Amino acid sequence: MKGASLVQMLRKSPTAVAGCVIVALVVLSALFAPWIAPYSPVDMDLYSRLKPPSLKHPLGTDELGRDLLSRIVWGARVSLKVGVISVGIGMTLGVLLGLIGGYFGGVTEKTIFSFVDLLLSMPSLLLALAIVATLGPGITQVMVAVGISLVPAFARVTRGSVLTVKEQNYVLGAKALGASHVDIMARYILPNIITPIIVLATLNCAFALIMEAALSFLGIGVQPPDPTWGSILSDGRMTIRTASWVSTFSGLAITITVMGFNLLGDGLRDVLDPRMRRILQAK
Amino acid sequence: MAYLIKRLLLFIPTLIGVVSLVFLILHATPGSPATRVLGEHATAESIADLERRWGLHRPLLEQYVNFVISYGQGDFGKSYRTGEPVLEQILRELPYTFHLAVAGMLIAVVLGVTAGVLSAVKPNSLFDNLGRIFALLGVSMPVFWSGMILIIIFSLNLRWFPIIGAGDMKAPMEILRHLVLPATTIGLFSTGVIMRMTRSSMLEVLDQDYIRTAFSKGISHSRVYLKHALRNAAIPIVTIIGLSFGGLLGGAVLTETVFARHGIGSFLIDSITWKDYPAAQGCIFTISLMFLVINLLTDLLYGLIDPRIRHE
Repeated sequence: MKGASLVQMLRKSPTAVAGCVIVALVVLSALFAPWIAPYSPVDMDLYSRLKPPSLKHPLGTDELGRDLLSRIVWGARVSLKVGVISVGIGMTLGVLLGLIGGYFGGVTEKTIFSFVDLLLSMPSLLLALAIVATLGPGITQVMVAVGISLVPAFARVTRGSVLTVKEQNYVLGAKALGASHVDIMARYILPNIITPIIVLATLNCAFALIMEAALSFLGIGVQPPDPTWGSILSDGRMTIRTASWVSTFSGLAITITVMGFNLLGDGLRDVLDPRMRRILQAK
Repeated sequence: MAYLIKRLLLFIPTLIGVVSLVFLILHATPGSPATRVLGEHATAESIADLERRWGLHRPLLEQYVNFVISYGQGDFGKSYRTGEPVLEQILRELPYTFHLAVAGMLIAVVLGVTAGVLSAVKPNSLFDNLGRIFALLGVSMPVFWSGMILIIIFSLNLRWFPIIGAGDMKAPMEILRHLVLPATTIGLFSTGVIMRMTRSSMLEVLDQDYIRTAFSKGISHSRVYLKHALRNAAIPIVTIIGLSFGGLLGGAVLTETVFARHGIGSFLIDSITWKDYPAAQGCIFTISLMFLVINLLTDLLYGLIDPRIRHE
């Protein structure tokens, strides 16, 4: 499907449009954080501790007098960065494993997928927790841990798609013409299986955001002074009786963004699914 | 019976795989666990002494074999922090997590399947649209946030339920009162997932010829929906319920932290914070074991739902 027609199809799906708008707004606020945020996210003002929302501080302040709006806007940067890079790590490794396993089959496939299935035998959050427990807390460690926990999903989806594509005539033709394995995988197979991978990547962005927030919430994720939505929410737990706005607004930021990615992923899946595309085109 | 034996035999290598993964996670990273526990400023002698006590000076293969054998014998080692056998600590915490997981799953299955069936029966109705919004919210809200929102509304403002703790294990009503909010929290996410799958699976089945035939024969609607449609839509629903259990167990770690409850999840976080590796490994293994058992039961359930699977 060409880029222009994909955009046209996406515009016909209200789910995808809603998701696109939400994600675009969050990405823009993260990009323009220095201009949008009224204060520094780390500057403390002990005279303004736990102030409720007001004109001066639209979302209130936290227990150290830091402006909550500024922390949430800057937090979007860290949370999105962790989410996108984690998905990048998971996608790169997963697609590579799925591609190699699916293409070569036999012992290679069995070996790779025994390991992938092993990773699947552990709940994702637990796997990420175990990896962070060993590597220690920090932004890079969180990205690696979340990324690895996403590998099995990408590997399985890629293998499934490779198995259907590798017997197609154009792949067999490339083989007959003497193209190398790497060439066949990179130039003939990968471009034809990219659709489900893109959908999965979008949906996994939502998952990665929740995972990052969960790890930071548990205190073993991204460490202070970097503000992330999970750590702001964790701070808010301590003051839930006296200043419920800290946890309410930071949680709302996570929920809305995750919902945006989920809507976009669902919309993309509907548009890129040939059956659903026919229905949308008929409308 | 042969199906059951085959599934049980396949369970053993998976279990060994999980034990190996738990071992690998601790040993695959550079540096000795003793250094990580004692810190960067520890002397070489104290590190060597600790490594000897924990058996880390032995060759890796020997350590691995000993690890697998001791796990096979139910020996999870001793906690670095308390010196107590890890298994005893886990068995003490297990009932709390078990209550939470079962109650959460019960809420998720009852709400998710009911809402999914009703949505599919009347697609694009007000109920369907509201249900879909609820399901989307459910899968988008982090459990630790929905837990906090429930605490703000039902504990701090309405004062209906206690904020923290798991209650006295000898008083069933106490346990229930302490369980309502955490179980709802943990169940909300899975409700969304189960509802979405039930709806789409039912929609697909309701479009089949045999459903139209059943209606044309004059069979009551409720019988067609529940006996003819739901039974045939059950495999993907059961699959997603089984898979949701993994998310639910992960959610238990967070929910137990939010509600300051006892349980394996909060014990795991404590162990990680204190760098108590044997305890953390024991918790990870136990939670994975629970997940694997649920997956095994799901597989066995397939055979009950669809006899063709049993005969393959």
